Formats: sequence, structure tokens, C-alpha cells
Amino acid sequence: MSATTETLINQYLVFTDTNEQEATLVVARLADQVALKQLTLLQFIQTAGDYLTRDDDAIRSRAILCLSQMLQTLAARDATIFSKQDVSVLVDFYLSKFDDLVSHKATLLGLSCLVDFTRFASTNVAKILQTLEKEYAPKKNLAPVRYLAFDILARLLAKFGSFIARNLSAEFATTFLHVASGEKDPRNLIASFTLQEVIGAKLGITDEETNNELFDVAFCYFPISFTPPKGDPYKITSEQLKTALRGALSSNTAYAKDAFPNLIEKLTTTNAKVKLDILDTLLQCIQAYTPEAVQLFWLSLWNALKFELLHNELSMFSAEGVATDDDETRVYVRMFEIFRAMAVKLRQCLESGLQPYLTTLIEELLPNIEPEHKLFKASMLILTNVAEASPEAFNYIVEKVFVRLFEDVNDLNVPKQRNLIANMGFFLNAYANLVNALNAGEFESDFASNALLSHKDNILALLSKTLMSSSSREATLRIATIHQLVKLTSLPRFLILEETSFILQFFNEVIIADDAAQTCSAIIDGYVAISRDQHKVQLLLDTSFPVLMSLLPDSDETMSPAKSAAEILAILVKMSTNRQVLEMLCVRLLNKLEQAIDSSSSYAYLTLIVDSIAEAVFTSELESPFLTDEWLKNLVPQVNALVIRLSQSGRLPSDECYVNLLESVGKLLNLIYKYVSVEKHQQLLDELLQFGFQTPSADIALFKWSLAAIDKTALMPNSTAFAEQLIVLAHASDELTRVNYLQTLAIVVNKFTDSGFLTPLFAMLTSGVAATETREGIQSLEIIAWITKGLVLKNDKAADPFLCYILTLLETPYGVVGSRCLEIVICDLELFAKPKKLISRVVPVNTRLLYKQKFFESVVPQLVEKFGSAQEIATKKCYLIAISLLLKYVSREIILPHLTTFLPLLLQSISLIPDNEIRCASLTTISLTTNELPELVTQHLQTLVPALLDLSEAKNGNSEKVRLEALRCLLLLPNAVALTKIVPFRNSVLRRLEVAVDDKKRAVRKAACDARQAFYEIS
Amino acid sequence: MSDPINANPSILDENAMPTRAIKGKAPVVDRNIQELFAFSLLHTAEPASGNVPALVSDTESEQEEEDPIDSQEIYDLIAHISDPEHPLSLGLLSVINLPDIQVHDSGDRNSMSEVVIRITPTITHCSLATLIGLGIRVRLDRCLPPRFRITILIKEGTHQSENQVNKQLNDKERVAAACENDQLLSVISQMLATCK
Repeated sequence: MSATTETLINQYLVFTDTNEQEATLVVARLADQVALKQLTLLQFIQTAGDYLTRDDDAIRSRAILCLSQMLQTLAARDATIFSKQDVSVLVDFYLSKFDDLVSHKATLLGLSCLVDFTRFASTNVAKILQTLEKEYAPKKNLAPVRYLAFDILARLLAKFGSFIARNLSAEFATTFLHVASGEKDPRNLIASFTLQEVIGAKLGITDEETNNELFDVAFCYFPISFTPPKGDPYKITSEQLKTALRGALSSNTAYAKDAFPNLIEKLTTTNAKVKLDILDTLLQCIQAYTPEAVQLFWLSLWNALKFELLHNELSMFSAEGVATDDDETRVYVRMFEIFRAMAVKLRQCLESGLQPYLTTLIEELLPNIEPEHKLFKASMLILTNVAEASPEAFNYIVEKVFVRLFEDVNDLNVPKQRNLIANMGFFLNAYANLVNALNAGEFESDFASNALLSHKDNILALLSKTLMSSSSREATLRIATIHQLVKLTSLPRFLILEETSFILQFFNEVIIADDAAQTCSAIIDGYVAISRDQHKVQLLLDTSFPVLMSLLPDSDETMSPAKSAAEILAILVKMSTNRQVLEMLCVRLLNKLEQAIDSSSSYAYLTLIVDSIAEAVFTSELESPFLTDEWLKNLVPQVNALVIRLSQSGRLPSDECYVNLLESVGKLLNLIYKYVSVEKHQQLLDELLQFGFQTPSADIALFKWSLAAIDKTALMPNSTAFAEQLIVLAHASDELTRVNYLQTLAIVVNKFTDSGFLTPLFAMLTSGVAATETREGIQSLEIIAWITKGLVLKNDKAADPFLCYILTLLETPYGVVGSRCLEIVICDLELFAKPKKLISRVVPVNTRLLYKQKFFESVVPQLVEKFGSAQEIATKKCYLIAISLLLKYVSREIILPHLTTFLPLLLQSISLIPDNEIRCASLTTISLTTNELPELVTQHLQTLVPALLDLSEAKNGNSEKVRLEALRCLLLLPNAVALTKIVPFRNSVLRRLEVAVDDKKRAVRKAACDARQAFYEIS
Repeated sequence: MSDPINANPSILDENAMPTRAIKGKAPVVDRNIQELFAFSLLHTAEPASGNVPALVSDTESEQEEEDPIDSQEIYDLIAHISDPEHPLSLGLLSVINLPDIQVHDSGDRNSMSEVVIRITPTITHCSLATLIGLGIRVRLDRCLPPRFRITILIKEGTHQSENQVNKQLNDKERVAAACENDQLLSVISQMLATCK
């Protein structure tokens, strides 16, 4: 037995320092033996005894380390294994080893492990503390060893905290001071600060001398400026150190008399980060120390901090919130928090803590409370922040401040009014924050009759008077006033409903009369905010809704002068975030629509109303989705009835505007159907199919959009026959209606047919395409394109022959048509848009997630290759058009990997093909490349820059849009491309842009100025 | 820069800066119809079928309506230049006012045109008036076609040494010399950085 033990110990002596893994294994096996009682502690000591006392430093220290590590393993495995006696013997053994410097690491490790054993007796604590203080010399040891000493203290404190607090607090503090003084290692410092936090908070040390020393041992590190060294295994951050030190400093009120003066002294720093650290520490100290300590120091803190606040503009603070989040702002925010924290703390004083503080603040700041005073804003900010601390503070401050604010409120000029109103908002915020922080009971007992309430009438009178009597040119004043009024309505337990209703009436008057966009949008925001409040939405419906509705003309010949119907509808739509409002809006607008039809209003007005309804439904579904099952009973029949009414009103149904209106109605129906629960969709489809399909009709638009909303699992009987009928009808109808039929066909193919019938159809359609371009041929190709679209969307293999056919078209006289076919296949249409998960669980389109990628990856390389091999310019052009058209519809993530192949093509295309649409498409992609892969663009600057300059001039048929795009591209270059590469082009660009700055179009001139300015700045 | 010369100027509200009013109401665009037409091959193919649009563009560009360079355009170019001592733009400080900008432009690309700008310094002894004027000149030199002659004057009665400043601002030699000065140029660069 002991022979193996000896072998193991020998192995350990060899392996430790060289092969840590092996050494750990050996230790584990030794621990095993002890744990299984195969080896007693005595036997171990006997076996190792020789090594433990050997003169050779290396062997001796290793042997002790072996013992310590074994203890460590055992402590983790079974802490009860040793008797009280065993532990004490071991403690004594270790304590006797302190004269041996090389073994300090092992000794300290052993001791710290021993503390963890269950039977470690409290009698050992004093011995350890004493020996550590007398015989351990921290300065002679390395940082990892010193860490162990902190570890021992921490473990002792954790296990015997209350015992030490009762009997050994002074000794513990002395030992700690000995261990901690002069420490520099960041990890040890964190251990030291953490330890001190417990010492300060738990040990109840009252001796002034000791506390002074304790404070000094921590404060000497303040403020910490620490940058973590590279490759630090402990990943210690400056923030960790700061937090730990803050904890140590704030742990004991006895430190207050040192902490506050010292911290205040440090405030003279100009470094914002350090200042923030100091303020954070001050804040934490105020929160942690007793009220009495704060009572002693609030005056010095107030005097130390107030100037910095009073002498700054504090422009980042407004009643709407804090605009920036940099260190400077945080410094101010922290100062406000300190003032507030003092108010909170002083309130807890036994006698007259808070009042002197408040009185001082008011005495000093009240003279500044005048709208034109330089210190007005800062003073208001300080006072509101303190007021937020408690009901007492709030009432006292509000009482004083508001009496002064309203002293001569009647003859203020505009800047004063603006200042007054904007800064009054701080008090409203403070009120809201305070009420939210109080629970219901506290509110009733302390705050139900607060000072702000007693000034409510004054505030309302001031704001409403300002809003109603100011000129509409004073937009900022009015907006500030509106913001405050809206805020008033949102304050908890402040306004009664009648008062909110008054405010709404003011808003109504302003929005009708005022034409300043920002003022109106502020009011609309107010409406929206009120519409979201369940208790107040009825007010909105009662006061504002009818007023706005009455402004909508019954026919567009009787427009109200102030606001156009479109503007009023836009306001109404924005208000309809709430379902209650939305349904009201729909009913009213449909009535309005009926009146408008009867009074033969223009199609434009009718379309506007329909679009507004759709917009309102859309936004409110987006906000909080709901099912529209109910609407099938009333709203949808009403819409259909209106369409019939319209068709009977004797207008020309072939009118383009009529088709436009029908499209809008279709979109509305589509939206409603999408939110009908999925179970009802089969029934919906069956009803839809009752629609007459004998003769071509413009009403197909309604059917198309409705069908597009039907869930893909619904079944269509005889879908093949239906598809064929659609083809026939498409042939027979006028242009717009034909597209509608074709889109319907695409929907049917996408959702309802199986691909079996396509093969004969394909043969039939392609045979109709003659060798030269004919109308019939194009019509057949159109059908092919739309069918392919339906198939490609769902990644159907049946699409392959169709696609191949379209691709071969590009080399025939149908080339241009072919490329447009490709566009049809890939284009994004609202009709086929896949919505995010709908509440109705309807999936209205059969589409695969990555169908575009698949399409793009398979088609584009072919196009690029054929473009390269094509001989004729016309053919090349077709391929290029096809590529450009595809690029329009594909997101940049998909394009990005292909840019390297594309760019040369695009460069050719912008100079080769005088087609504005293609040029625009190419330029957009070049802009994208410039942003994403500037290196790639850099290689082509020689061709790119002259080409862009050519396109920026009004010649060769460059449209305004092309010129703009080219100039935008140029504008990007100086920032995207390395300076040395672009500098050679500087002068030529500047010279040639002289043409563009004299362009006929203003927008182009502007873009040219921007580009030129960017190139001028290169140097 | 030491203490600002005019620490507390009156500031125009941003919304009150003159802007180009939106011309009338945008016509109701038949978006729906356009979308339908866009995908009708017959509709789009027919005009294109007559071969490549063989540089028909000359006629097209002639149809393009001309936007003349007017005082609002000049105002937009220079109103956003920052004041060298306030973090505000010249427009907000009312150094530049729309009525004080005159454009004499026949629209003929071959004849000279002229822009006259009268600036109003924030106070009558503003020593930065020349710098402001130089900034405006550089901006316009960069943004206007070379056929424009640019004249920058101090508005009558708003500066103590009106004549001197006027002379300095419109002296080609002195302007050219100033633009050779790198330090001055970098100050102007900063002033122009806020242009929109």
C-alpha cells in the first residue's frame, strides 16, 4: 500500500511543473486512496515525511504542494472526511511552514482548502490570522500566491462571518490590512475590494483608526484607470475593478467623513470618464451610507456640483427625453441622480433632514425661475429631478416654482413662452415618474392632493391660450405646446375626461386651420397617443372623429378650403390604430363613398377613399392583428354593393380610371380575406367561383385580388378547365383586362392546378409563336410567362421547359420580349407577396423561401455566358437587358457574390446600350458595388469614371434619372476608393462636371454640386 | 477662436427658412394602372419593336422642361454654410436672406450671367464678414457654371467698414491668394461641410 503511495508521490515530484495533466492524475489517485480509507493521513505524512523536510527547496516545496493539492481534491469530494483533530494538526503543520518562503504557495493553498473542511474549528481562525499577519510577507510573493492569501481570508469570512464579527473583527481587519497593502495585481485587487466590502458591511468595526486605514487602503487606488493587458487569462475589465472599488468604498458609513471630502476634491478633473466614475461612486455612497452621514455632507456636495450644471447649456436635455448618450451627458444625468438620491436619503432622517436641503435649493434657484433667465433651464432640471424623489419634495418644490412661473405669465414674448412651456415639461415628466413609482396606497395617502393638481387650471389655461392665440408661423412654440398638452392627457390621475375633451377640441381647431406640416403631425401624434388609451378612445370618437369626417366633401367638387381630402383621410387613417376607431372609420368612409358615387365624384376621389380604408385596415392589422370574419357579413357585402351601384351609375367601364378603382377595391378585399380565419376559406372560394366567366369583364380585377387571398389548401374543382377558360378570355379582352386574366391564371397555376395539363398546353402555345414577331406570338409568350411565374414561385420542376424556352427566345427576333418575359417571372408583385405569419393562419401564396436564389443562380450564369459568346450586338443587348431587369428584383445579398462577374458587363452596358432603363439598373448596381466592394470598383476606375461623366451630361438621350444616378455614383467614389487611386481623376472630374452644374434640371445640378464638392475635398 | 464677437445672435427658426414650395399638388398617380401596363408585353413591346431606340433621344431631351437657376436655388446652396463662430448655419442666423439674392440669367448658355448676394453680418463690427463672404464665394464657385459672375456685397448700412469688405470680397487677386492659404481653406472646408 504505502509502496504505491510512495511511487505516486515520486511520480508527482517528477511530473509537477513539467506535466500538469499527469500530476493532477496522480493527485487524484492519492485522494482516491485517502477517500476510500486505504491510506490514512498519518501514513501519507510518514511516506512523504522525508520529502516534506528535505533541504532541497524544490523537492520540499513540491511535496507540500502535493499534500495541498490532495487536500484540495478531497475538499471538493468529501469535506467531512477529516476529524477536528486531523484538521487542527494540518493547520498547525501549515502554519509552521511560513518560515519557508519557497513553500508559501503550497502552504497558502493548503490552508485555504482546509477552511472548506466541515470540521475546521473556529479556534483555528485566530491562529491563522495571527500567523498571516506576523509571518506572511506579501511583497516577497508573486501575484498568484498573494491571491491565495486573499482567498483564505475570503473563505474564513464566508464560513465564520458572524464569529469573526463578534470576537475577531479587529484582528481580521489588521490581518487584511497587512495582506492588502501595496497590492497591484488587478485580479488580487478585485479580491481585495470584494473582501473589504464584506469587512465594511459585516464586521461592524468602529475603531476610527482602523477604519481610516481601511478607507485609505482602498481609496489610494481611486480613480482607477486601467487598460486590460493583452492576453489576460482572467479577462478583468476596468469596469469590474471600478465596481468592486465602489463597493468597498461605500460599504461602511464610517468612511463617509473621508470619502465625501476626498471624492469632492477629485471632481476637479477634466476627464469625463474619470468624472463619471467619481459621480458613480458618490451616488453609490449616498445610497449606501446612513441618512445621518448624508445629512452632514449634502451642503458640500451641493456646492461642489451645482456650478457645473448651472454653467452649461444642457442642450441635450429636453422634456421629450435625453438626446445624446455620451460621457458628458452621463455626467449631468449622474449629477441629477445624486441630487435626487440625497433627497431620498435625507427624507429618512429622524428629524428635519429634507427640509433644510429643499429650502437651500429653493433659495438659491428660485431667483433663476424666469423664462428669460440664463440659468432657467438648468435650475428647472435640478428642481424637477429633486422633486421626483418623494411626494414631500415634489409638493414643496412645485408650490414654490409654479407660483413664481405664473407670476406674470400674461405678457410674455414668444421666446419666453417657448422657454417656459418647453421647460415646464420637466415637471410633468417628474409627476409621471413619481406617480408611477408610488403604489396605490401611497398615492392616496401622500399624493392625492398634490401641488401640481392645484395648478392644473393655470397650466391648462396657459397651454391652451398659447396654442389658440399664437400665430401659425410660430411652429416650434406651437409644437412644444402641443407636446405638453398631449403629455398632460397621458399623465396618470391628472386630467378629468372633460379636460381631455377640451384639449381635443383645441387640436381639432388647430388641425383644420393650420397648414404647417410639423404642427399638424404633432397633433396627429397626439390623436394617435390618445387613441391608444382605452379610457380615452371614446372621447376621440366623440370629439375629433366627427369634426374631421364632416370636412370630407360628399363630392370632390365641394372641397373644404383648408385641408385637402387626401390630407384629412391621411389623418383619419393615422388615428385608426385602435380597432374600435378602425371599424367606425370603415363604416363612415363607406357611407361617404356611397354619397360620393351618387354625387358622381371623380374616380380619383373614390379611389382615394377606398385606398384610405385599405391603408387603415393594413396599419391597424400590423399594430394588433385581428380576424375579419365578422366583416364578411356586413362590410364585404357593402363593398360589393357599392361596386354594383357604381357599374349601374352609367359610367364608362372601359375607362382606365375605373380599372384603377377596381384594383383598389380588389386590394381592399384581398386584405380583408387574408384575415378571415383559414377554416372559412374553402367556402369563400366556392362563393367566389360563382362569378360569371362567360365574357371578358373588367370586374376580373376583384376576382383576381380575392382569389389571391385564398388559402393555398383550399380546393378548386375543375381547375384545369378553369385555367384553359382564363386563357381563352385573356385572348379576347382589352389590354388591361388581359393582364388581369393572365395574373389570375398565374394564381390558379400556383395554387390550384397540378402540372399534368401543362405539357400539351406548352406544345400548343409554342406552336402559336411564329418565326417573326407577331401579335399572336407575343400573346402566347405572355401566357407562357405568367404560367412560368406561377410555377417558379413554388419551385415546380414543370417550370423547366418553359424557362428553357424563354431563354432560347433571347436569340430570336423575340429577344426583347423574351427578356421581359423573364422580368415577369421574377418580378415582385403585391399580388404574390407572402405575408408574415397571419393571425388567420392563411397562407395565400404557394411560394418557396429561396425560389429567387434558385432562379437567379440557375439563370444568370447562363445569361452571362451567352452574353460573352453572342456575336451580334442586338443579341448581346437582349442578354444584357435580361440581366439588368433581373437585378432590379433581386436583393443585394444574392447579387453580391456575382458582382465580380457582373461589373465588367455593367460597364459595357452603360456605354454600349443607349437605353435609359437599363442604364439606371446598371448604375444602381454599380452604386451597390461601390458601397459593398470598393476594391472591385477601384480596378475599373479607368473605364468607370469617364463613363459616369458621359452619362452625367444631357446628351445621347441620357434621361434626368440616368444623369442623377451617374452623379450619385460619382459622389460615392471619393469616400469609397483609396485616396491615391482617385486623386488622378480629381481635376478631370471637376472640369467635366462644369457641364452638369449647368444642367437644365435642378435636381441634376444639385447632385452635380454634391459630387463636385466631394471631389474638391479630396487632397 | 477666442471669445465670440457676437455671443448672442437672434436665431431664425429652422422651419421659417424659405424653401421651394411644392408646386401645386402631385397628380393622382394611377399606380395600379401603371403596374398593369408594365407587365403587358403588347403595351411595352410595340413601341420598342421598331428596332433599337436609335438615339431618338435628342427629341426627348428637347421636351425636357428647363428649371432656371433662381434665387431660391442660390439660397439653398449657401444657406447651410456654417457660421465660423456659431454652430449654426448662415440661413438660421439671417446672414443670408432670400430677398437679398438676385440672379440675372438669360438662360442662354453662351452669354454671361450674374448672381448678386448681399450679406447681413450679425453685428456691424463683425470681423468675420470677409471670411463668411469668402466661404460663400468658394461654395458658389464650386457649384455654379463658369458663365456666372458672382458678386458678394455687404448689405448697405450693416457694417462699419462696408466698402473695404466689399472691395476685398470682389477682388479676384485677393480671393485667389486666400484660396492658396491652406489654413484658410481648411476653415472654409469646415464651414462648407454642413451644406446639404
